[in-house]
Amino acid sequence: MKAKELHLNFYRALIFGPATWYLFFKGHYYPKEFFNQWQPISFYQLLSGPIDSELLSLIEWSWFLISLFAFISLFPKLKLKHYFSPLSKIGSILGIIYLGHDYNFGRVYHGTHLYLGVCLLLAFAPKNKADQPEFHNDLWHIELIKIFIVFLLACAGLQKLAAGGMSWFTTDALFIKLATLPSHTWMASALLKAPLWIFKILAFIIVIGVQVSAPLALWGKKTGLAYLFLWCLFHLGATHIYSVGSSFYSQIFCYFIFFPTTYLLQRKPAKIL
Amino acid sequence: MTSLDLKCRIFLIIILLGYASQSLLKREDWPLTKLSLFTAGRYDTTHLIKVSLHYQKAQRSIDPLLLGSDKFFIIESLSEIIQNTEEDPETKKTKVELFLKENVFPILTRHFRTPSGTLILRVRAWNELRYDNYFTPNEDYIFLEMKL
Repeated sequence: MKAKELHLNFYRALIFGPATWYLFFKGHYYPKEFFNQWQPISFYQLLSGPIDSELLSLIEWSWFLISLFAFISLFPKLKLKHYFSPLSKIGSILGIIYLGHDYNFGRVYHGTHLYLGVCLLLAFAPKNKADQPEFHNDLWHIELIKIFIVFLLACAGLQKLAAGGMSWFTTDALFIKLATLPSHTWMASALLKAPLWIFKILAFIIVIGVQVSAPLALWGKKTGLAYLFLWCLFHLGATHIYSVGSSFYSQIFCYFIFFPTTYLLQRKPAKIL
Repeated sequence: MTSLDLKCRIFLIIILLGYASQSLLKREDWPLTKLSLFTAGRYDTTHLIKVSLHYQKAQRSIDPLLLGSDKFFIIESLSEIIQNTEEDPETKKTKVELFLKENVFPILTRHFRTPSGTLILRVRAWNELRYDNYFTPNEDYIFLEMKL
């Protein structure tokens, strides 16, 4: 149970620390005229227009600083653990307003949605009062986030199959996705010259290997670690070939719930002969 | 997960059903539920036009010039101006020049303190884009060359 607590704290620190710093320092650039095309969705429709840039900057800094305090509160020696819950709640809401505001021009951008989803789960998921110590209080959040991630990936894969069916692997669908992109990196330009069968195999790996089969990551620690590696590789490839945007790297931080921190922490020192 | 209390079970069901229903109802306007970039199968590529921006200075070029989220906005806006059949070519060129000054020049200043060189806007068009005709479009021309 102690090991599980450490695992959860390590993950909380990773999300409210490095993952948030990454998105904050990466920053966003939007042309001035972009804000003229204000097409808010969901609760952003309640706003009369885009948030004033000064207020948005204030929200951005508040999100960063409050997440930083949430991160600091996790250090056991400081004995500030009870501050994590309110700080993470405020930090998550500010994160949604700031990151969502930039992307809510007709759709929710999916580069940061996993990060925000995980922040919300860590901050707002209820505590479990059942007896079993392994899932007691907030320890079940580990399993909850694992299920959330694999469910999300499996849904993405199934949605592709439902919309495109077998044509994903039997046609030039993936090639067309690459060819029609607004700009190509050097890796994408090189891949465009590859034979068609390469695109078919890649499409199969992405849809089935990376996404539809994602629930297998729950099978065991080693399987989880293998999927963590595969998902990281997928995002690196997608960013460098499909230039989908570096905000997707925030998802890599989220996948680290599958990293066997407890195994590393519990490893016995090697025997000295 | 058999040892969860009722409140946690309901929470888990709401979270998972939220995502599943987004997929089934195809609601891409729900917050935090965008699942996948490639939601459809193969795109319709009939009468496809592809606009690309290149920057050249002497032997140096930045390729690709556009990266990140802004490339979609810039390329889509330029394609819209170029494909507008109601306007004559001169008006289109003026509009494109203005758009480039307002939206692409700030990007160039990220690479150079004082940009100088040529900005080239290339247009390619296919009657139907397929794997075997990507490098041989039906039309391929320079729409605009702008000295900076």
